[in-house]
Amino acid sequence: MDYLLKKKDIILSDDCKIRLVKTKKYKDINIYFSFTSFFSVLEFSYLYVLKDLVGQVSNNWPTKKEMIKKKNLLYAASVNGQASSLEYNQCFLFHYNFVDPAYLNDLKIDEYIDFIKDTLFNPLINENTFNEAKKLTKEAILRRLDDPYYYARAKMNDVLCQEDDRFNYCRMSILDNIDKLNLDEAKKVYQKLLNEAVVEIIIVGDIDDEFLTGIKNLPFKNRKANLKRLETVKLNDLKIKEETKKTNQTALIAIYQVPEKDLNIGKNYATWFVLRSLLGGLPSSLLFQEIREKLSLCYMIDVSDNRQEGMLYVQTLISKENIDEVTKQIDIQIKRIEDDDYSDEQFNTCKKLIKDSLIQSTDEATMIYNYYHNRCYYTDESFEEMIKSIEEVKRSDVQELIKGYHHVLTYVLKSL
Amino acid sequence: MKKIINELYKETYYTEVLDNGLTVIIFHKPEYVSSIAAFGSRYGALNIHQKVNDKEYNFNPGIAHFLEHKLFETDDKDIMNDFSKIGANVNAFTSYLETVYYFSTNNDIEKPLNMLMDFVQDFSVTSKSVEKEKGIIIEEVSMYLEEPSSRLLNETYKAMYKNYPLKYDIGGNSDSVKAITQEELEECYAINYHPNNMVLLVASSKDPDEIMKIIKDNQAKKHFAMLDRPKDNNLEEPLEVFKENHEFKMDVSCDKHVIAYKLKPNFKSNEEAFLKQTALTLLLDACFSPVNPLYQKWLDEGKINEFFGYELDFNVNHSHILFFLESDDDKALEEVIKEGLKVENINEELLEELKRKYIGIGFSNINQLESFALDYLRDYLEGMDFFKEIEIIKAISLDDVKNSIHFVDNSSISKINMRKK
Repeated sequence: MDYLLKKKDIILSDDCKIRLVKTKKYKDINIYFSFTSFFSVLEFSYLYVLKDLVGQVSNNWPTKKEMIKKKNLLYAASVNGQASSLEYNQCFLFHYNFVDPAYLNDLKIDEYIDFIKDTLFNPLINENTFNEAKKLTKEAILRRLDDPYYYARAKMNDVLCQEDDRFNYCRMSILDNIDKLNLDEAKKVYQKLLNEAVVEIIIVGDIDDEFLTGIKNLPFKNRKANLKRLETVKLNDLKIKEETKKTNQTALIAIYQVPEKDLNIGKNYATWFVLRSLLGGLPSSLLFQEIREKLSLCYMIDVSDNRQEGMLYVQTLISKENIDEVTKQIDIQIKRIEDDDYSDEQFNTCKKLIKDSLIQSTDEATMIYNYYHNRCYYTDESFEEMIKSIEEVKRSDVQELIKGYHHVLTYVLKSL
Repeated sequence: MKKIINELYKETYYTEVLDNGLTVIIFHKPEYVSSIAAFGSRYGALNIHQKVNDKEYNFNPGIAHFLEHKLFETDDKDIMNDFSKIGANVNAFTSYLETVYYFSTNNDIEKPLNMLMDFVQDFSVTSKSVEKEKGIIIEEVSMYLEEPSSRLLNETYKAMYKNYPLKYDIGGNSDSVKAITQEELEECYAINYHPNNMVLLVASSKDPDEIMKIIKDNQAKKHFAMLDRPKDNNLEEPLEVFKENHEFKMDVSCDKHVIAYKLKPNFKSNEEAFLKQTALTLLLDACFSPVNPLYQKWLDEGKINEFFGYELDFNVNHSHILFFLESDDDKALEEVIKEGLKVENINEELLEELKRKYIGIGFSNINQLESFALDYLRDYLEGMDFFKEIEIIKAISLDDVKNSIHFVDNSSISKINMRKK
């Protein structure tokens, strides 16, 4: 079965292309503009603040009232900025969402194009708007850190920052930098994003030729992108770090690293995907089955990753009385994979669920964007080839991969 | 089956009420590879005091959520794992008004659909497994209470309501969870999971006739004794708030405040409640969102930030309006409400602009298969319908919106303050 909707690549200039997924599946049109380049931590802080200013005010619609009116009249047109990492580079995404004009007879394509042009290329960056964006960003970060789970993640990252600056692309660093940011530099950094970063435009929806021509004619010049590729940093084993917070639950994050392998390419990626899912994140995963279902020690236990650094995080929220028992149980489940001590049924169910979730993700525009943007950065592997790679992963591949991991740190944010 | 086509959103769906009382809704989504099925009961966290055929039932707070957990487990089966083995993801949630069990799959739908109906319609549990579940549920309840916004809402309801069960968290509390027994769960299940109290929604590319046949064949094998739908049997709730002022502490970076208006729920139906709620939402949008130039002034003065907002909940059993703000100035929220709330802020042009926004949001929502299916089912269980809601929004007049200002009545107010530790 041809699961994924066909994409067509259109090269606009050096380091600037459109990936078009034309489909009638959706009643809206999603356009993703991603800008990828290597930025310093300070530049990253500027862009993190500015991403939320895009779509708030522009030179043509200089007040929030005028901008919101424009969006409302375009039937809730929206643009949302996001920051993420792609290998050792930083990626700023602007996601535009519009109702497909075919459903409403009073929408004009050129109004959508004007909206994109104005918000993306002419955001109003002046003393007032920039200071307001700084203040709101700072408050939003502090609010996020009020949640003990995210606070624990941020504090854990702080511990890792002492090992290497590349862990500094995070909310804590933005918080440290935010009062130092100035208007002139902000304008320069935004121009650098517009003019130098690699641009990828992923369009998902039933876009017509007029709309596509409008996108093609947007003022993207030839780029001079600065993409960096660094070796994976090998972290020292820090073993355990315990801090406290006035909460009722304890957050525990166990961190492991396999520094020698590039987990983003070929068979390594498929094996890593199976390993992560076998360990956590699915109802059939070992951590969920043993620590939650059998021992009732937690409600939530999950696994996440930082693939470019070969890192795997096991995270959970528990009662402080259970710290030792949960730590012991995490070790036991990892040892089970090292010892190949789990059933074929668990292994095959895990692979089937991964395959099915990949197929189902083609029903969501943003998942299609994620696939083309994140996976295609590393490999030209088609969607069907990726599923085949997952099917080909053997138990011994997973066993070999997990044996390469070493325990870096267990971070405990203990409740008081 | 009754076939319905919505012209604006170009959606086709089918409905039928089976002989046993079960309502079935099938959305035909030929372009999608996933199929979703969601089976919901009109039984939620609010329904702890009930009456059926003159018999009264008083359950512990959190029992709806506890039941949701235990339906996933029998002594010889792990339901989640069974779904996983056939390539389907199963999940569930409990809200104040309903409990919903659902799965998604890109494989054949017949087997998981039968499994969904079978596990939800068969409850067998031991006291040992009930005891085992309590630890997990207590951790879950604690987790949500650590999240400042959840805790703020929870404390707000506690301050507003004296008797009404909205004062309890959906999951209950540590004591109520510990007090729940096997017998109580069985009794609660028996009166609330009858087909006439439930709705099954399927969204799939598969032939709707075939899906209906699977459902009818499954239901025909089961016998359900006739049972009236349970009615709520709550103690009378006074219009006065339980506490006019309530403070509590959390380890947060800035104080947070809520001003909560408690209203007498004088609505004949949830459809009427939706109309009134939407009219007031449009007025509040005109007064307290960036369409009002005062919004920028409040930002410039540092009175509000992005946390500022409002939330309305109108239905036949309870109604309230909440305004919330993050600020170290205790008076800021009151001042903003007083300065902003004016009917002059809305006119015909702005009303049409805001209606376009909500119609547009509808298009965006309809594309997310799983969330649309679940939202549609929740609305239906609460006596509403997504497409009807859009028609109501389109039909609202400027007078409806202006008249809604009377709901923001100062006679019954709670002020809740979350303080930094």
